[in-house]
Amino acid sequence: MPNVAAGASGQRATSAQIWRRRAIDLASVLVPTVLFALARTVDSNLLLLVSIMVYVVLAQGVNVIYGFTGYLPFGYVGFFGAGAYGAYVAVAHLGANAVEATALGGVAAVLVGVVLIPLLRLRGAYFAIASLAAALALSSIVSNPAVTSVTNGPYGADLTRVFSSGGSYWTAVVIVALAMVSVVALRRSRLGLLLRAVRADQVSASCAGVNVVAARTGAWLLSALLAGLAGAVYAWSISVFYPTAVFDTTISLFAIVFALFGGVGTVLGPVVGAVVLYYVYNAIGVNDPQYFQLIFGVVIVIIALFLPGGLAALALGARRRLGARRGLGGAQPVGGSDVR
Amino acid sequence: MFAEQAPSAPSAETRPPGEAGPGNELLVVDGVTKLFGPLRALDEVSLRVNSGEVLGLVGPNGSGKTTVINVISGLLEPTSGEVRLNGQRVSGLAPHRLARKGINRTFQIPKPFPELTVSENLKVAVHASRLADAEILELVGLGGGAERLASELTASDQKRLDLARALVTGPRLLLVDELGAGLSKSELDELAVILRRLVAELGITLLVVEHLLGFLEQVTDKVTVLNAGAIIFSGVLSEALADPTVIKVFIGE
Ligand SMILES: Nc1ncnc2c1ncn2[C@@H]1O[C@H](COP(=O)(O)OP(=O)(O)OP(=O)(O)O)[C@@H](O)[C@H]1O
Ligand SMILES: [Mg+2]
Repeated sequence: MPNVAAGASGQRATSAQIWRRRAIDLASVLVPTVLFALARTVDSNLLLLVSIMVYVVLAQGVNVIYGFTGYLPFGYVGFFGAGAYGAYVAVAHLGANAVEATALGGVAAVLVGVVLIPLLRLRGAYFAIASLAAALALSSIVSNPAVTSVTNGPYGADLTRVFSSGGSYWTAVVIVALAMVSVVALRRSRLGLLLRAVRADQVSASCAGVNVVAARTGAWLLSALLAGLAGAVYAWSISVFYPTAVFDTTISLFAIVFALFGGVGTVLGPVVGAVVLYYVYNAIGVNDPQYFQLIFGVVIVIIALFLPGGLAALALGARRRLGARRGLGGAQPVGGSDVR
Repeated sequence: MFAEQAPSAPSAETRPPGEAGPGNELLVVDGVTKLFGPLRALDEVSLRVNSGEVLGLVGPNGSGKTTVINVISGLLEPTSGEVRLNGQRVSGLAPHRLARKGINRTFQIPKPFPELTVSENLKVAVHASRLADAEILELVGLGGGAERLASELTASDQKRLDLARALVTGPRLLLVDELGAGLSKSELDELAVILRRLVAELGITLLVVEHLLGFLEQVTDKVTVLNAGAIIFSGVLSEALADPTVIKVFIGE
């Protein structure tokens, strides 16, 4: 039992481990944030950079809900759309500035999440389908001509009054940082521990006194917040959009594939997955999205069959083979990746 | 609640079996029937367990023993009838609520969280025991193994971990499902000592489902026999073994 020996080797080893862990946590937050902040000096296409950051945040949101609860949110785009339209309503009707509107977009998504809490009583596959249905329902409510006075219905939302490519870019950087902090904190928190337990064995967790639905609700609302912020900052950066653009199911699909490809349950996996695959998509997929969706579908199947831990599992496997199996690394799967 | 309890409630051995002091009843299972579709897994089952007592629950495979535990611990809702703890109706409450009310259990096939360490397994549970986690691990014989992954434990140690996790929640009533199955003679003797200490030192009331009568009789002589979902005997273990109906059920198995 090497772990027992390590635990018994005294106070110094333990505090060294704690510092090492803190350093890893800090680096996990700072490295992506700083890289995105510097990215504009390399690539001047700010809209592209914002899109990538939006997907990084969405992939982290999927990471939070799927990695910690095992629920695959096919309707995840519902929160994104709620965030985009929350921001629009805040600007158009409440006179909010763009930053306030972005925050209110996050709040709108959390409210949608609260309404959908009953879905957390469902089992995995039923949850996936019900969340998709909820997103479609929300989309048809928002785009209904009857609510034109609120959302401008099917005629699209216009945020050009607050357009600022720099402002939306820097806000996106901040949201990326927030997403990284969320995942790191969740992993280290008691809630994270409870969710790992629930995910491993719901019956045992419940008998141990864990309120399973309450624990899942924490992860659910956090992932709703992240998607809402992403949707709001996306809306701000493109400034004119139609309901179909921000409630596009492809957005859920991309976020899920990016997260799975990078490795759910890890801190950096979804970031790497989103950056790599979005660049690939941008290079070859924009002109022919149907074709690209096919490729993504195949990627999902391949990941599910051969690489359930994503890229992070490959990295972790390589590290294991090198014999460097120490403590909690930056990339450690929370659990298996089976859908429950 | 647990901390307020007298540390040494009278043990089952010091009290004549069957003595039912009114107001002393901790658990009452009152006419519980459980249907699984057409299958009548429990048929009007009634049990009473006094505070500080140990009741054995025996019966052939599929007779409904685990179902009794599942109903009491809140994993299953009875089709009819009810469960009361200290006179208060508890059937219908979720397991996590029951854990906080002082009912906990182990599983016939242990169910630790495999990817968590032993100490993390305990950390997950709500804490209401007056014993620290380390003391509980010591008590169940897992002292020194706190940092091991649960998945690396032997089957016997996984049972101990199940027991430890239940104890952390400070149960007044502990339901133990076939703790003895698959254990060696020395492990059985050790576990019998542990169960007796739970009663004598922690004042925990036990319902012990067990196939191994030799193990059971080290913990209690009070037993209820279940067959095909119905109670066919309630009384002293030695009398159960002489009872013609009971003999028929066990020989016919
Ligand atoms: N969740 C369930 N759904 C359907 N049938 C069930 C369920 N749980 C138990 N049963 C059935 O109810 C009956 C009683 O099962 P139970 O597990 O309570 O028996 P047991 O006395 O614990 O048996 P064993 O000694 O094998 O553990 C069996 O016929 C079993 O197949
Ligand atoms: Mg059983």
